[in-house]
Amino acid sequence: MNEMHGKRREPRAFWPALVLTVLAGGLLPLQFAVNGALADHLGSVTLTGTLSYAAGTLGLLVLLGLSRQRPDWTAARQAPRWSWLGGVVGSAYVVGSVVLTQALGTAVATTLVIAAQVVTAIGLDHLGGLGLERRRVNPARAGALALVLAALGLRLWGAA
Amino acid sequence: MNLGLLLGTLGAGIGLAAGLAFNVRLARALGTPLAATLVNFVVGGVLLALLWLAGVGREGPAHLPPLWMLTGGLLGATYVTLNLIGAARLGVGVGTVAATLGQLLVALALPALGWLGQAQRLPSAAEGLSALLLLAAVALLAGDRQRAAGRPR
Repeated sequence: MNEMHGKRREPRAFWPALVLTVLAGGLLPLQFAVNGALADHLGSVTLTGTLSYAAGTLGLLVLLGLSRQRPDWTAARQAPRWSWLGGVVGSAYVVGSVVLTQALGTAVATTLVIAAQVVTAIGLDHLGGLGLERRRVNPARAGALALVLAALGLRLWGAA
Repeated sequence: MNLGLLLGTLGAGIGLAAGLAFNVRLARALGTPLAATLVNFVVGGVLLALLWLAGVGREGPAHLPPLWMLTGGLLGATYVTLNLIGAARLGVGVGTVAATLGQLLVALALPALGWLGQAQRLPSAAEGLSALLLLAAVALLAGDRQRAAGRPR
């Protein structure tokens, strides 16, 4: 049933969304580098994460104040409890990325994170977990997964 | 590679991809991706502050950092918001791989340009080829998604 809704998206929205997402991804290595430098100064990955999150929270509050968007907090209270906990797994990302960058450098750290990320994402889509529309692994998705893993292999081999 | 690094990798990768799925669900209820990202940051920040107060992950002496180093959180907030807007249209799978492509391109460009204090270095053939493979993967997933969107069922 869920699949039905997915088919009616207008295709036009697809490409802008793709470009936007590629740009968003480009911010991550920058964040790796900046947070890594911060952790060197503070001598603590948890404090680095705390300050990083505090700065992000302030930025979001300002943006939300400037925008005309009015979040529907009543509807959000009726959403499943787990959907509020994205920050818990998100903080695992911030701490993990800092530890990795310090130990391995930005290039290898980025590569390793990508592997875990793509496998998790395609797996979540396949299982339809966490309230997602179910998108099963088909030949195209399996091929993409193989390409991503090959790209990572090359990258690690080049870095070694 | 030791166990700590392995756990760090898994935590970072799963955190990124699964965090996106959590946020997609919350953004749907709230009606705005900005507020969902805000919830995400408050929860993550409070958790890390508690861990820090409990003495987890404290090592070495602390020095006061220059202000620009705090921009990492702004970059993170921008990433989460944009990725969330994109994933609502693309699905978590395509959304993650597309973000991955941008990630890899900038990770190549940073040393090539010598920005943010990195030693200047041109990408090797292996690194260039690996970016091309990733581009092919994004194209494959994007094509698959377009076909699925066009096919009435």
